[in-house]
Amino acid sequence: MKFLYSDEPIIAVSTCNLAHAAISVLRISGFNNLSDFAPFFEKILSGPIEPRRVYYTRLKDGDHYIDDICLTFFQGPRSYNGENILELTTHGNTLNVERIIDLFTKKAGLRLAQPGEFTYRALKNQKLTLSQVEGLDLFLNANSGYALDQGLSLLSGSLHEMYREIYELFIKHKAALELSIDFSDDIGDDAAQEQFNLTLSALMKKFETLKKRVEVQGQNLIEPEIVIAGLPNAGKSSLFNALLSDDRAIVSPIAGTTRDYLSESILIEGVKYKLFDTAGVREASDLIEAEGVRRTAQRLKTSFFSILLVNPFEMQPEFSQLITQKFDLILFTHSDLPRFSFKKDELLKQYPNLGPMGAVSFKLEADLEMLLSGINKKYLDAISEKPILLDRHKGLILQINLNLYKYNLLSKSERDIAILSSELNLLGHCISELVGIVSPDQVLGSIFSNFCIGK
Amino acid sequence: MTQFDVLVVGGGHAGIEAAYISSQFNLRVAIISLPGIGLASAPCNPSVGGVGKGQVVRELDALGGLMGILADKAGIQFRTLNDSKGFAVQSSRVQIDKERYSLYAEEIIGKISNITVIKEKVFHVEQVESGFEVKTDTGSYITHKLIMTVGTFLNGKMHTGSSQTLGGRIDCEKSPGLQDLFAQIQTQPLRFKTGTPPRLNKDSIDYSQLEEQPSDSSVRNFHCMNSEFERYSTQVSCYLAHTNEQTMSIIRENKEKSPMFNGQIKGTGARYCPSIEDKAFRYPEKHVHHVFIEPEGLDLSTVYPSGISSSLPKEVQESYVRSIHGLEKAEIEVFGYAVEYDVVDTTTLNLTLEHNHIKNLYFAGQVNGTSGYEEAAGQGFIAGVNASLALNGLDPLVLSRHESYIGVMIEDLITNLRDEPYRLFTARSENRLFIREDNTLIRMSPYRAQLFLNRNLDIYQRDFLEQFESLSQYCDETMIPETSVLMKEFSGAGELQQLTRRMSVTELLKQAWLNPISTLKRILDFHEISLHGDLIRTAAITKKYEGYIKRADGQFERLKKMDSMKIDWEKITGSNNISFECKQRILRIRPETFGQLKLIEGIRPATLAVVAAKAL
Repeated sequence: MKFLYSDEPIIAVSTCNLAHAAISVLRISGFNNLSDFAPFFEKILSGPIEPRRVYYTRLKDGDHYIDDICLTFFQGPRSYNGENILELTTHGNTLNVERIIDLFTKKAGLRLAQPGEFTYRALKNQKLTLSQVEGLDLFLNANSGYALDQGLSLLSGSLHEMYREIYELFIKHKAALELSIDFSDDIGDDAAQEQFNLTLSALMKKFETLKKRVEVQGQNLIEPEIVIAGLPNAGKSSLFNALLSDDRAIVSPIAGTTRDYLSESILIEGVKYKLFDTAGVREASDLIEAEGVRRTAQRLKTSFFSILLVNPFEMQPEFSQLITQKFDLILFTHSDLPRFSFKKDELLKQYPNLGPMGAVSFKLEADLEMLLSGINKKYLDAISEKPILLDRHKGLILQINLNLYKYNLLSKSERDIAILSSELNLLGHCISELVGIVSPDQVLGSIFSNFCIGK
Repeated sequence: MTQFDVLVVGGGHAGIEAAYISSQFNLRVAIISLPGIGLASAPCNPSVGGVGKGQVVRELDALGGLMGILADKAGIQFRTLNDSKGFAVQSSRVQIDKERYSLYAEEIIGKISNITVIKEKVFHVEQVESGFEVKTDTGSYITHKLIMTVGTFLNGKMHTGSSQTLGGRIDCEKSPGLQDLFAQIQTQPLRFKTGTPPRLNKDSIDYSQLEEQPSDSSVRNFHCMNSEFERYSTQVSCYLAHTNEQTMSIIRENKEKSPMFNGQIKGTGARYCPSIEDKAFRYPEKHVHHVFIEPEGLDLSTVYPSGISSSLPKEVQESYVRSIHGLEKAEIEVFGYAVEYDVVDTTTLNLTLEHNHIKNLYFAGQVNGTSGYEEAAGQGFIAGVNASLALNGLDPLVLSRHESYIGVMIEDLITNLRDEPYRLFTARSENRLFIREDNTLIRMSPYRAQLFLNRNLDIYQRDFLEQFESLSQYCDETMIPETSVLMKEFSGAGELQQLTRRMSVTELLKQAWLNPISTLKRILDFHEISLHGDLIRTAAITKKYEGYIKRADGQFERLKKMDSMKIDWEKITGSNNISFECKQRILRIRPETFGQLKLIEGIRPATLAVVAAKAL
């Protein structure tokens, strides 16, 4: 994605554009003269419009009365993105909003904003740093209190501050290395070596705290997934429905009804998860089912929490293949049937090394409560080390970690200081990227691709 | 009125290089230099080379400069700096007999029939139709190309304690300022400061108390056609002394008397070349600093105590010098002083060191705000050779910063607005693994060939390159079987250092525990091949670094791509969101690529990030 945005004035809806919303907020950004818009507003304004004050006025298209609105003017550079911004609060009907946008694009020369364009201009005008933009993105798309917090900490610059400290320690170490090349005559080799060691251990120590925050888990904590897997007819869809308490999944006694997987959002203790019901794992007899089985294996790998459902009355040879995956919880269904305990024990004898398990009957609230609190506990554990949520940061921190480790080893064996310094530069590139000093096109592209219009 | 093609004002290290190379293009060349000072004199430290600078001397030598020839001849103590830190950062340094150095320079220049040496004082320069008219106290000269290598003389002012003398150097008269010389240059010149230590009587020092550093006979001469290790002067030693708590407290107690700290001196000095006062106040907890006692000449009575330059009053200088162990009875023959002088804003020059607005006028050396003889000489050569090439209608000589330290320096100078003297060191290069002393001829001879001078030096270099190519091929293609006695010899002590399979010579040279030079020598001896030592050295180290350089190149590829990205400086400076200071700097330099923008000092990371993001 290339950013070839032009500087012309833009307009977009900044609020959720719902059909029956009471109000909507529209933003206009990047115009030179507020007076250009005067013909659209009725008699507002006995005096000049002062910045950051709300005015109540009537919007019109020529003689045609369109809406009653509130408007606020933010004068650049003291605005969100550094440009002149006009915020209009209108009535929320989608048709109304579209009509207003039409009016401004056709008669006031405005262009509809591209995704993320308001924020892009904030970056361009140095109102936000790259990290802050990422933070904003995280904040706006947060699915848990923790993600909200981290988004905010990026937005306020406190996480970025930590990155900057690491960058500064890196620069200090780099300086110590260069000192021992260019000025060892002035300061002596011993003093130079001491500087080298001190600055390197300071850098490594500081980095250690950051490293812990990416090592927590491989899964995606921004949009954690709960996956329900099991043999056909184990009762996966029933659990799925019980959790959602609605009848979305087709529940039927014929094995293999759920061909692909279904997914729904589910809120557990304030955290939004994606819940997946997967196709049963079985030698697939038709193509659609085979594809479903393949996708199930894939889902399980990236899941945050995986549940294996086992119906001890209906075992298949594929079971041994299924349990090669790691599960967070194994649940036995059909516990209300006679001979359940006998069947279960029989199975446990055959597979003695199954993970944590419990029994569930979909009618028992208590069982479900237990399951939900298990998921929540895992989430709380995962965020206790304050994991870094953004993939770009995570990737860079892991790469820095690897390079730092290699560099530290090399510094103990390599006597050729120019080679050492060349390795250090490699490390430096990653660190500056983390701070946002050098940001290749694709970084920006991936950051802004998440934005909706109007942000 | 006498007319010249190239006239050089100043007979220092920059001046003589400019004149010397110009004379080889069969032009009428003149040097005007102050009466009473010899050519290529060494008013500060009596040494040539050093970290980064040794590379410059060799580059200059390969291009046809004088400095290497003079340093070899007048060299009285040779040393390799960073000896244990890898080939890429090793540099040669030689202590010179400064008297002889200057005499040899006079001798060589004196023998060249198309150089006229004029010992007069310049006081005004006027632009005339055919170039410039240079007026001195007794005469007037016309020249097409004018090269200013006036060192620290422009508006020079010397300080020792509260006493101030006008002039750029001890025992020299006052010179006019930059604006007095050139009515066209209206910008306020920058003021820089440099200093020099007191000179001590060499017989008043108790050497038995100091650590001796004898001359190293394994350091190669600078001039590529000289025999590798031959010495042309008697070799003597340097000595290492240290300051102590008493030394530093004497200086700290006299802070009020230091012109640098009481506000008397306004110019800025180099952080990289601190005076003893700087050290005392910048590192208040540190008392022990190195003091190298360097001989100034075989027949001179003085030595140069490197590391304690000062502008303190005479009695203070005497007392802190004598507080140093071994210098208790030292007699000061010449007191240290600081000098302030006008420097040219080098961002007004182009890559040939010609002025952007006043055509045919070049500036080189310390007047450009650099420190060091080597930096001066390198610039003098670039200005001289380009003035001459232009007169001959040939393309300019521009050295790439990726292939030479001279290239690094020139690009840094013209893109950087500096606020302190510029000193070259290896950290300024992004390509340190490649810009080494050992491969100077490989790097420089393609540039030398561009001059079409076709002298002995050119024949020597063509030969060298040809032999290098075949030696390089030999290394790649010759296999040493695992059964060879050589392999037993080369195997190290460790388990991983056993050589149990056949290997090419190149592969062997890359083994970490082997010294590539002696390894290649041994193999060639074994095969009864006899070659020049320089050649073996160049090939061995080149093979050793091959892989690392490729790796580093890979690392920098993305960065380089980024650096070559075109930027629009007008748009950047037109933006409301760049600080005033950044804007001013960008406006002066007018960078065309991201790489150039990055080189400008004082550009904020935030600005870089914005430009990198193609937002401007």
